[in-house]
Amino acid sequence: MRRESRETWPQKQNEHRLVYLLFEIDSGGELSWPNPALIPLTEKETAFREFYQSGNLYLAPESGEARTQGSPFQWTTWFDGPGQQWAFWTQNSDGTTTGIVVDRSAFMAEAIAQLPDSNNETNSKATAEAFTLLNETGTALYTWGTSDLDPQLASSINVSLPTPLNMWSVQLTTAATSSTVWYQQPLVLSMAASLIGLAVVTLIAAYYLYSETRREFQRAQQRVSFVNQVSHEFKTPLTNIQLYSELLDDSVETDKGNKYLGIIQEETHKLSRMIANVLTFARGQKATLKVNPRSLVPDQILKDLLETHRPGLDRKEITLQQDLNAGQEMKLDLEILDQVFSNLLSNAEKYAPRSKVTVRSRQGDGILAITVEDNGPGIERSKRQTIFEPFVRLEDKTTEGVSGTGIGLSIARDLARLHGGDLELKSTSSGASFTFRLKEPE
Amino acid sequence: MKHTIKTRITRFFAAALVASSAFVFGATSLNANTLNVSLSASKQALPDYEPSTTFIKVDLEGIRPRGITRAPLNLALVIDRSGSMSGEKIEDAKNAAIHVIRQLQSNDIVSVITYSDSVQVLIPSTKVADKKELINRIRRIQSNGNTALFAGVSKGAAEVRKFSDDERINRVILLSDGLANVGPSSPRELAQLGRSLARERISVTTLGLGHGYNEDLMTKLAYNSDGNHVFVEQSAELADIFSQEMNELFSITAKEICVTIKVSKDFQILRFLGREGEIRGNVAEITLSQVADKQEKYVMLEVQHNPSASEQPTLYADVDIDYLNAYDASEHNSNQRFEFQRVANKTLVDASIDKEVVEDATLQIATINTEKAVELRDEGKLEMAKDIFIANAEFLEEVQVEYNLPSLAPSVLGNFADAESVANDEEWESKRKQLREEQNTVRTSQSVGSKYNRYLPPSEEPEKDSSTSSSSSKKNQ
Repeated sequence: MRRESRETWPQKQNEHRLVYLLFEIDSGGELSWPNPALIPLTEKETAFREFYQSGNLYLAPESGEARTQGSPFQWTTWFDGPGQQWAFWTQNSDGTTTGIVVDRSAFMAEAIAQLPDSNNETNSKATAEAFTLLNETGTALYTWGTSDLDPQLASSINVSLPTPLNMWSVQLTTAATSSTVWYQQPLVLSMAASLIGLAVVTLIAAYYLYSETRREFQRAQQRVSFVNQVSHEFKTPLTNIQLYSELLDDSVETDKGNKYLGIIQEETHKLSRMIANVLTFARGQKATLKVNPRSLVPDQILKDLLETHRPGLDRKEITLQQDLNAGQEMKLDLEILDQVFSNLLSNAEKYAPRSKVTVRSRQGDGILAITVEDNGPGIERSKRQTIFEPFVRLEDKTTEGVSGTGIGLSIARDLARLHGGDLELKSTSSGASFTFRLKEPE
Repeated sequence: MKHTIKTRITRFFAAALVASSAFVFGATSLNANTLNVSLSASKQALPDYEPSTTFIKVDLEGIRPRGITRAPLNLALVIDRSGSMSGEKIEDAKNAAIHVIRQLQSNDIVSVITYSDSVQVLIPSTKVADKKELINRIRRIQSNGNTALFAGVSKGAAEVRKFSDDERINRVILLSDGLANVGPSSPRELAQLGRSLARERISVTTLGLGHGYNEDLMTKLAYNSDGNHVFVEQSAELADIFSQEMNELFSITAKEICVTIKVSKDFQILRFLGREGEIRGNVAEITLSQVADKQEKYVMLEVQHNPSASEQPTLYADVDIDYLNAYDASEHNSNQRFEFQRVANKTLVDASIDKEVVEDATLQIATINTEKAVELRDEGKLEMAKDIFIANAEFLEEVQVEYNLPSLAPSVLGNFADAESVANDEEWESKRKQLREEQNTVRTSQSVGSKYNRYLPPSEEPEKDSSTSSSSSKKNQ
């Protein structure tokens, strides 16, 4: 599963150490997460899957041991490896079950961290008491309190912790008579309570992480079939547009009219090509695209494209700054330059409205480098890797109501690479900066 | 109107997926802000007539930008004060800890925890304001009792956790001379603790003092939390070792380095060598906690190429790296692609071999072999252990000769020497600790025998081999 950025989980960050594994069970009792049909499993997940399918982990409301009063969460425990293991889970309203397998070592370390230390300088020596936390096998996990009690004179008592740690106990050794130890109970209970509280927070955090990831995969799946459907839908109207614009050609008299018609025809030809390519992509077939270089002046092309995009940029209140230094003629594929640059501009329009966008161009040694930089909200660290993948779109408040399949960046990068270059992202929280390079073919 | 039609439809479609490309653009190394990344592979040209394996290496090097001060630390010193530390050892440990306090600055956070049967948080996490007071407390440490190592580390981690954030270097340094005998004591449990701490971005460096400590436990804890492990033979070396660790901490340039390697369809990912990562289908992910200035670490992935009838047009490994600049916690990303070729004859395959990658992969495999040998020796199978060492030496020798890699010669000799020490119980005790340290060093891809000599105190120039004298005397038994 993907790492989540600290911005999303600032306070829950540390609690993930308690989660060994996330799991989900559907209403039929089958393990639905981790799901090999959605994503391949890691070794750890495969081992858990086998463990579950062999019937060793049985979770059902009735079987849930230690139903904490009034809490929707339950514990189930079993023995494996070094010792006792715990699953912490809850049944959802749709009949599915979500839970975590607790990381045993982190859990023990957490218990120890919550308990007092034995700093003799700060602890009062008046209460001569020693405490030992014992685990399920009666072995000492942790000791605190006085260490110089004479075992001959001391008496001890064992107090079990409340469930789910009911197999653990705290041994109290005191020099005083045993009747004074009853008041230690609250300490033990509060310790257990804070442990459970921590586990609850962990589970909630883990659950959100899980559902975010699940939604992501479902969205990805949806998009593939969507593309397939829609491309067919669009092929027909597109052919019509082409047809009618060609018919119109004969009846248009004015210069302006002819100019607009010319643009319509150009664009529809371009679109036909693109749709044909996307259909090929959706079917997973190989398409051999060729780079068609021709002599052009990059800055001229950029200026034209910026003109075309100006209405859109103005509507989004984007101020444009140009730093163009590519005025020499070069041999480049116009379509690729157009598509990559336009993709970056429309992304700026979509995701960085009301910002300042700077376009820089440089050329030298047969390479053209163009940077499109904005000072908008930038891109979350967790998303930076994924935006180059097909069908991924950033989903947050800024993109509500924005349509798009999210194919753009992955194809833009592939096109840049076909042209001997690349497309890179540099993003800090003060904006996004994309640079693409195209290399003149030999 | 043109804009509307175009954008409406373009909203749903962009362009086509590109299929074929044989270009590798420019150099394969990127100059990222504080991390230099370069990709290489043991074989770049792969046979199209039979399956073959190749190793993909992702090289990471820390770069410190000019004129920048170091990131503040958030450090916990966890010191064993069990009975076995009495005398010189505890005094040297205390002096080493005091030396650490002296090197820290007011913006650093430090805590000191001591443990025997129970744990004392001697100095809870605090900014290094009143050094005198901290030093006085350390001087009062006394030794007696058992070794509650797990508890000591837990409390140390709890102290670091209080102030743990992206802007600091968060680390626990554990010093122990004995066997953990109170609380969880198995290497497996300590390994799991190490992994859970790594998840919350806290690393543990373990220093094993003398001949009585459990090196499996100590190395596993360090390895799984991506900290260092050092075998300290004499307590007099402690001050130096602590200094070297501090120097490394002071020169960390990049943190939380998440490496994701995606390979094209004709590849099958076999395993990571050395480090452990997560492999899902054709994507392998691994995280390194930190890289320091001029320090090189690498990730090595073994993949198998299966030529198929319906060939994918390109063979590649796409490497994406997310990391934090240690100085200002800014996030950075680097993305590179390494392209392979399919060729029809063996000469071309051989011409594409990268010897450096072969050498590193060989050392990793040799390390896996020595771990097996240690396992067998533990089970009392002395002869079998000896045989493995000898076979390993011969394997290394073969590779050394075939690829002309004289730098493998010390490992060849080392393995022959290890074979000799198997039979001698006393010699083996020390040798086993040495081996564990070496195995850990190779697995975490740092050069053996010179663990710290890349890191100098920022003021010193040029490079000085201040540590090799002590470390090489250990190696040349």
